[in-house]
Amino acid sequence: MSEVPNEPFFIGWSGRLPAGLRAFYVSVTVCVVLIFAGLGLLMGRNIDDPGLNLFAQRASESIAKPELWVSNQKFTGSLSLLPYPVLHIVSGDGVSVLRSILLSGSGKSGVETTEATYQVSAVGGLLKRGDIDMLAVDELTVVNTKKATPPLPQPAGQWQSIGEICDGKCYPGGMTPGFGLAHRACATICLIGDVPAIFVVAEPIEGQSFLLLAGPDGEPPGPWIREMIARPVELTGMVERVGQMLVFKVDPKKARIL
Amino acid sequence: MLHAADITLQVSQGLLAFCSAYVLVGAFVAFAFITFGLDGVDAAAREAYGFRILIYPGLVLLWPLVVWRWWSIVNGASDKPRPVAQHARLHAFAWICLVVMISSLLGIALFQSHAVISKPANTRLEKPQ
Amino acid sequence: MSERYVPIGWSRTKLIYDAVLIFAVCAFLFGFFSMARRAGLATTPTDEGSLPIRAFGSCAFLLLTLALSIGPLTRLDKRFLPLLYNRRHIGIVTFAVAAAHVFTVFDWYLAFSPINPWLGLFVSDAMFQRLDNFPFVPFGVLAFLILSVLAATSHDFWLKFLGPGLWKGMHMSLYAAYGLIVAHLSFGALQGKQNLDLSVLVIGSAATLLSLHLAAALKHARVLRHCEKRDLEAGWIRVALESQVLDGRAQIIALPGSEAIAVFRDKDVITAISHRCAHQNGPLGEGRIINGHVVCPWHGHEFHLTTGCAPAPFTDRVPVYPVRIEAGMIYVKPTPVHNSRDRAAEVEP
Repeated sequence: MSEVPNEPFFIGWSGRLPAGLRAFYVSVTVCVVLIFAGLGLLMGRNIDDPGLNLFAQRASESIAKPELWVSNQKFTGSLSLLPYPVLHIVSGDGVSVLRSILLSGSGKSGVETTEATYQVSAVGGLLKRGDIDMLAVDELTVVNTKKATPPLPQPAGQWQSIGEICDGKCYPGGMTPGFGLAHRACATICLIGDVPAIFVVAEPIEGQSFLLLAGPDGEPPGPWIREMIARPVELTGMVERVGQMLVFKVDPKKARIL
Repeated sequence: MLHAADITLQVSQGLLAFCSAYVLVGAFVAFAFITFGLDGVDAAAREAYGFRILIYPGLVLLWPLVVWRWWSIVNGASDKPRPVAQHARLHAFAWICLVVMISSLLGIALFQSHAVISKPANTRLEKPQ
Repeated sequence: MSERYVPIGWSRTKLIYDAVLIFAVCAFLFGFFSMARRAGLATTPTDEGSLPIRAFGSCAFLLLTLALSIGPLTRLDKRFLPLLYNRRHIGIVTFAVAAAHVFTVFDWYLAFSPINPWLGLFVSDAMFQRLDNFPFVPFGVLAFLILSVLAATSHDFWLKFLGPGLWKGMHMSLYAAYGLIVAHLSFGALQGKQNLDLSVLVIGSAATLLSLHLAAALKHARVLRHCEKRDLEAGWIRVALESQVLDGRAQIIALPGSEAIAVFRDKDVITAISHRCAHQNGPLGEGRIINGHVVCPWHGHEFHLTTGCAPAPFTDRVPVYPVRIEAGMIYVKPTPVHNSRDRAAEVEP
């Protein structure tokens, strides 16, 4: 009979590794830990830059980065309610709108407003990304002494435009990244919760990097919008300027995913 | 008319209600099994209590299977292990499926053009009147 | 088994095993976070809510690849067998890391809203009409469901309660989970064209895993000796010359349909026992003999060489086969010896 080879044999429940295998397992342990640490470094090194949006590779000019959240900011102005509440800061003479600020409530919900005939004063955290201003409102008070009329819409023609539907709170910096595939679930529940829907365009329209989304009659956009969030889409509709805000009255029948 | 996105919402609500009901029933079945069934089903479980907490989530998740096994063991069904041949074939089949699935998935993912859009970004169809 | 159940049967090797595993996970997370948080890498840093989602997700994928690699590794090199013994703990750790991924998604993307997060999860990614932009979340949900069921049924109780066939079949759905996770990544993170490293990780892991399985299958096919057809017809299968079976080792002969018999030598006695362990179909023929029992190389289950019974208090048993030696040649009959339990069943009306 030939010689029986003396291979180490491990019996699991014995709780002891055969002496012949110890050196092998020291090297296995070192390898496993090194592979995990190395891959951790590699994965961490190449996190997508959340400052770049879906259209980063084709954008002709650099995309504005979200700025840090500044809390306790106070603004007073007139309110336009449709499609979403927007606060317009008017110049001293009351003629021109200096700034139009998107409004949202706390968390992933819209702000509750009813009054539009008086000036309102809003306090909250300000999110800013390029030309987008978003105030996450903590407190909204009506200034009963001052009458105010929201700016009248100025038509800006019919447009067909490519971009991404985002929520107006996360894209300007509520989350980084606040757009794109990974953020889709969040954007969806933000929009269901009445946070303003914005359309971040691949290239600026009328000098603006985004438009406030509306339905064909200027109402908040309907459920069709939910299938298009965080995807490259082409939207068609009338554009109106309300203060410093561009409102895109989208025809749902002509909206398509690219 | 109901939009597709609203149907998705309703289906999701239905799915959620179903899942909640399933887990609720599972919680009761699991409790009943641990209290009244376990000792009769498995001699090794008698006077062993710590492991019951560990098996509880599984009992909740798989409660229809638990009811079926409980019933068949109580009614004296013998435990016939699946023939080895079947198991080996299943293993080979699973791997062939996985090879096909993974390669086609990665193929789709990598060759799918996503945001390369050649047409102009903005077109003014009509000037303001 | 019929020893009283304990929550976890700890042993020294298991503790070391788990410690190494948890240390490796920590090393991955530490590497990930320290690299991702280094200033200047991105013009805008990813926020503290989104980073852990990515860290836990990629770590879970890596762990699952590791868990699935162990099977073929043991078939290619027996020195890896000790890794198999506690493999379920890799499964549990994988589940825990995947659960952390899910929890961080719920705690960030689906939080701060009056909407039920589960509803948000289902609603936000349900447009199945197109292959491009195909939903990636449902794949992840299904994979996590499988990981949950497998983690929840990893205790020995389940193996006995469901029976080895059903239990093993159920736990093979881990392969489906792997496929689902590749789908989750393919339609999700890999769509962001900027992340080349992740593509390399996913393709590299999948390719390694598939090649290991292929290599193991090829080796197995080459090594396994099949019985001859005319022997089968004669009722007795020629195994090997008596002198070819080493002391304490076995010659394995495969029957049609991948059933196999291990013919062992224990000193001067030749016996034939099923090659498949009753516990989880482990390769008994590659085991060792201790006190007249063959010990399975996978989980250390023992079976008496002549009766096929596990020592008390265990009640498992495997088939044993009749052996005949003629002119130094070993023959085995492919029909098992009837054991007492079978006989009892036969005499019942």
